[in-house]
Amino acid sequence: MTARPMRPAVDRFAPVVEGWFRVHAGLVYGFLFLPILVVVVFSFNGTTRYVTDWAGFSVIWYQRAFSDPTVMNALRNSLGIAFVNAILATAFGTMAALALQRVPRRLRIVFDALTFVSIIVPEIVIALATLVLFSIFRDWVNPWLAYLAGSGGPVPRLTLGPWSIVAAHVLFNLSLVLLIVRARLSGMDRTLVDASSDLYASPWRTFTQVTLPQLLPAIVAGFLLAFTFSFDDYVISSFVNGSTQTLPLYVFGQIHQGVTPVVNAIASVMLLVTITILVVGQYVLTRQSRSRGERGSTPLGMLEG
Amino acid sequence: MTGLLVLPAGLWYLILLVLPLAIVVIYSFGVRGTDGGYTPALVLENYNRLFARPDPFILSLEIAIAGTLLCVLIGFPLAYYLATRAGRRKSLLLVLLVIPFWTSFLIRTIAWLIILGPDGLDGFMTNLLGQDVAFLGSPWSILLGIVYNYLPLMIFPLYVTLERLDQTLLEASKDLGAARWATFRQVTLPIAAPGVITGSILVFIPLMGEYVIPSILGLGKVFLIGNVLQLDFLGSRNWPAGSAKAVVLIAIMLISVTFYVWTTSRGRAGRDVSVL
Amino acid sequence: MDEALRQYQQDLLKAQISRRRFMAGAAMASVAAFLAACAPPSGAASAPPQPSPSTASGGASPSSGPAASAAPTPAPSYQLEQGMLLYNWSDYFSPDNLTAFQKDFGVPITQTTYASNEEMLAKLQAGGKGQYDIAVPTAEFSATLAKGGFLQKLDKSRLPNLQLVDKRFLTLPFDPNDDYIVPKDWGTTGIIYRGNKVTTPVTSWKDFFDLAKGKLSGKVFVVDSPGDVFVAPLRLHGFDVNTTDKDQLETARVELMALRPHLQSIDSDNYPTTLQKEAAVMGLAWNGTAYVLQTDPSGKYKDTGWTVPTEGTIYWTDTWVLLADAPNPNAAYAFLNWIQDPKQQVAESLYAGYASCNDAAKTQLPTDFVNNPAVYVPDADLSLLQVATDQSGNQQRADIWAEFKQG
Repeated sequence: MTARPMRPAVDRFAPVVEGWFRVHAGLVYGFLFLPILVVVVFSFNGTTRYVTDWAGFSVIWYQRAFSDPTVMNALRNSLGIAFVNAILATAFGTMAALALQRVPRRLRIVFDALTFVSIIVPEIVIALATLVLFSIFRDWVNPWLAYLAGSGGPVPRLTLGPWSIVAAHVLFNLSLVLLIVRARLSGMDRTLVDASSDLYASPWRTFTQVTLPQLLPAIVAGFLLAFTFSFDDYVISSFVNGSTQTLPLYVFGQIHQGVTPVVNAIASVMLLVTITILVVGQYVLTRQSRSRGERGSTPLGMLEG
Repeated sequence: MTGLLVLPAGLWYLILLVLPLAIVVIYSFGVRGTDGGYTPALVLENYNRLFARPDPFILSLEIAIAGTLLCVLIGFPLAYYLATRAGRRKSLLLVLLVIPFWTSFLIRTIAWLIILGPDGLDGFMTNLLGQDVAFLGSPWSILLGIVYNYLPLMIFPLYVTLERLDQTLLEASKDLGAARWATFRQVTLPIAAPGVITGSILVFIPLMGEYVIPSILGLGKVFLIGNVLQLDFLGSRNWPAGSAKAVVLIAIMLISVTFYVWTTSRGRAGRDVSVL
Repeated sequence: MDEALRQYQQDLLKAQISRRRFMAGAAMASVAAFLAACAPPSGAASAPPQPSPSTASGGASPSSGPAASAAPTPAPSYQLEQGMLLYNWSDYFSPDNLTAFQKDFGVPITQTTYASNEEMLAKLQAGGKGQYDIAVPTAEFSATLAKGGFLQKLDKSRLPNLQLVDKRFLTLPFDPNDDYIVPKDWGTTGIIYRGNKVTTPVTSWKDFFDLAKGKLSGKVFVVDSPGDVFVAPLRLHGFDVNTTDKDQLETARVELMALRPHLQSIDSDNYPTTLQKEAAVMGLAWNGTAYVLQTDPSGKYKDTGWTVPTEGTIYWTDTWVLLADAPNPNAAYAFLNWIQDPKQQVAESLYAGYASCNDAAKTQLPTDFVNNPAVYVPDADLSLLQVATDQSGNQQRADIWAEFKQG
């Protein structure tokens, strides 16, 4: 009501607040990376058996890790399963998120409830129930397969393995992607979509050129989370894996009678690989986009949305 | 077209969620087979015995609530910082959040065993105080391990929501003379609310069923609902008893989460509620 | 054929088997081979060619397979599959043996692990047959497995090295005809302690409980295994370790709950490290760790002691079993026979610290291993050892264990 603009009195605290945020962030990141540091440092432990005995600097465990077929097999399985699972979960979750905007209200409520339930049920319950389901299914299908294959040569058998793990993981992860994408969708600017259709763009074009770019951060985030969950999963894998070994299962088995630095070595290498991929990817795509004059099209830039 | 889009997810839910859960419910009324497993029956015995001994449920609830609260308290400032003040380094910092999780959580938990154990914190404190200190094995070490592993689950939804916070709103609020705290309460918080809700749910739910990290960091002395289920299914192989506990656990979580969402969404536009 | 027979006879001489045992074994083998030739094939539908009765003359004829004359074990004459699936306890199979098997037979072993008999049982029951070839249950659990139809009866003609097994571990009450099990090793459940920190003698369960509740409070652990932990309170009162008597179990419960607040951990996995770091200095555990710690190259844990309590305890035998519908039965048989070779047995024993069930191996083990009371229980104490049965289905025990874990 006065003509003079009011000067906010809290300005002088701005640097303090900013500083506090930075300290807090620094502490959290330190907290997050402290165990990582321990893992990497102890991977160079020259002990003969138990990881906590420091016995000098050595790289023998790296050699052992990569020459150990059990470990390499587990690592390969984990990577493959996590990747396939992430692709499927992201695809299904995104598709469902898009479709749910347009389905009748009753169906959407049912879907919401199912998503809800799939996240609420404890992993161990899902794991067991899924195991029983698969074994019942297998007991029905295998006799049929044997019948169809006849009496000549080996019979195809349905067994627990990588695909049963993928199937179980996709359930939880597609719900995750669904939630994230829907959250993003609900906050999206509709005017652009409307403008696009006003300009006679086909629904497909509208999708790829308007909706999708805006959704991309959520999709990428969902993909990363789905991959991470699957790669790191222990409980579900331990039930439905059959004879397939994954990295968490191997590590858990190693805990018995002392963990050797082999697991540390693997973890360190994994870290190195992922960081390298990210850095290289960022560098390459930054150069590409710079030469094309685009902004924000790098994978990391995508997360900014 | 819409039907096709929703079909894969729908099928997955039907076959890998509804069907197995139906089996669990049916099993919960059954009786243990002589060598373990399930024998068809229709008895309430499993539920009766469960209610006579609710301790694991209560402890799980306590840890889940405490863990969630800690995640909110620690995660919110960081998510806010990332969403509004981190500027160009935002993406890098976000990815840095996730990188620790590309090592196995078991390996990280074992690292905490080293950091907190006789070679680390416990040893240090014991020497310092002259008395046997055992941080490892106490509920505190469990909370630490939990927060450590579930923090990103809280931060990501918070970040996604806070990122939509329009800076001009904050500036307008400041220009209108609002104190920092008032701005926070009346502008930031309502916008962040869906993120807090989603994040809390994403953390609370799995925490109720968590048993691996507490077992390792609790040195086998903490007994949560997940441990009970493990004993029932993998120990005494009493599937009906375990199924009954699972059903009760699901019921508890359904009720608590629904209640939580309902109370925090009252008075809010319907659209934000459908974040779930 | 003659070459093989001569080789086999040489092996037998080396193993110092008595003549009588050899005749018994040969007779058994011929009967088994005859029966196997007539019986329909078990296992995967890709059935191997049936063994010809000529193998009954003692030992398989090595018509295929590598280096048969060099290795002490006669190579099998069946087509080996591409892999072998082993379901085992973790850290319970010598890595040297794993590579050796691949070298000798060209078959890689894929190992999946479990942490307890109960878990193995549960996963086999729930997951069905055909997941693995070989599992490693403790003897009493093999009976449960057999009852559930999860095991294949062994074709003894394909396991000539079974002759080398100490008779004590054959014809156990769980498997009177040795249809299913091939003994792996044996050990005891007792008290492990760090001698430099536990200066009062620990000779009985009573000592264990008294020290845990007194001087060593907070520095004592027990393994996370109900079948083993129940032994302590039950033997303390002189009860049978396999009792199902309600009052006796209730007494055990009281003892366990009195012990609970004084425990540092309930843990089967990390206790070697715990003992090394002296976070706990005494515990109820299995004897293998005692040997491993005593002989640790750093020399820091030589004071590790092991006690077989005077009130008595259990001894257990871990066994190899062949699972029903095994996907790779030929490789599995090759393995089961090969693992009983003294060379492999020695490697296993020295790796895990457990006594071999194999007489021939015993002669090849280092003397300090054989004479170590933490490994081979002295004859004087043998009467203290009882055999446990599978009590995992007992509801009262399950309830007590849950209460104990809760604290």
